[in-house]
Amino acid sequence: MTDRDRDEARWSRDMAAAHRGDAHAYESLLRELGGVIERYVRQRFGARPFLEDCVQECLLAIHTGRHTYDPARPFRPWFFTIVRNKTVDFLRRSVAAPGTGTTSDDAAQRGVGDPAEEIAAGELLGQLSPPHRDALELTKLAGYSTAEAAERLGISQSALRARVSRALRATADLLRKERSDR
Amino acid sequence: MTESRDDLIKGLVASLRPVTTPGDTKRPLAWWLATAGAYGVAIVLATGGWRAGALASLRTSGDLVIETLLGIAAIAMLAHAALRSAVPDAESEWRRFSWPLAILGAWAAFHLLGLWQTNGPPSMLGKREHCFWQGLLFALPSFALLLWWVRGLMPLRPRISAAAAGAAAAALPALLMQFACMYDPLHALSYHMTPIAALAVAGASIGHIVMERRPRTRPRSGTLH
Repeated sequence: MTDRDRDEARWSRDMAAAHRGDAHAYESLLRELGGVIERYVRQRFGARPFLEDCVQECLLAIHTGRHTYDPARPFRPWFFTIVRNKTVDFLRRSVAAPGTGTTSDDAAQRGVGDPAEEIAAGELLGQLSPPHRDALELTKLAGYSTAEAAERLGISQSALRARVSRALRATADLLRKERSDR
Repeated sequence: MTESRDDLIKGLVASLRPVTTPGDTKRPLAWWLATAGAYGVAIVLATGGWRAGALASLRTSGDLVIETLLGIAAIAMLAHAALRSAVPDAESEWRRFSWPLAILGAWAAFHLLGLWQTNGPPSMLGKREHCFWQGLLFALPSFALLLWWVRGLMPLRPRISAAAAGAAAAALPALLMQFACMYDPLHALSYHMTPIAALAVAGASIGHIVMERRPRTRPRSGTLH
């Protein structure tokens, strides 16, 4: 039995125990899954300031949707579908909500480095086309406002918004195309 | 692990409640089919009843039996797909909906075929005024019920789930209208089947409004269920 099989069996068993109200198993499961989600997001998007918020949102989604997990089915597809979906939702909402952008100075103060270096830190971003990657990187990941990002890229704000929307769709598609049971 | 994540997990664990039927979609499906079916028959009976001889024709027309079975299968499969689409798993939406849509297409194709190979001449007997709107209105309570069940699961793509729920709910009156309204394949396609597409489109919009969950604020111990 591989580590992966052992994880699968343990997670499934712990969630089944949580369904019966076993708080100890549930706490152990959430702590372990928190670490898994953190690695998953970091591997794809790099070490970002939003990482912890994203992890917590995923944990919350797992909690509210735990009744949909059928212990007779594999745990990983259920779990990673939620994580993928919530991660993209998280990015989409952050971009869509007006006024959430910060200035480049703010971004610099938070320790966000050169966008090119940050991109290299996330393997998924590297798979996006350069225009999509830049749009996503600047508006969401590096915390630039729409106006600042548009100016930096030399395009209009509406063009940037459309590009971000397409970039998010591409991100969701890439995440879905990954092995479903990762 | 950060302190805030630790707090979050403690809060979630404190609000843990047992789950009686985890991941169950078969029971809601059975309940919906029974409830919506009974309601559909009741509303048809309350608004004019069956066309004279319509039910008896099931014994004489093999095509009508196949058509009816396809309709029943389409309704059940669409409703099941709507519920399953609200349970996270790795199955693609295309794969999930390919069979229900194929059966729905076969059902519509049977009507098309009827344009050339009719079971008899088109008849105005039993014609209902405004049957398109009746079909649409009859479907609304069943749609609301199915949407409520879907919402209780975890619809990660609410537009798709709600569109399937709308199609399933509207397919039921479409099937019943085969026996409650006039017999004419062209009429059935134009006025009985079109509410399926209409409620699927409307359902996608309604699903976006009703089921898109706003991001929750940070939970506190004991505030969740």
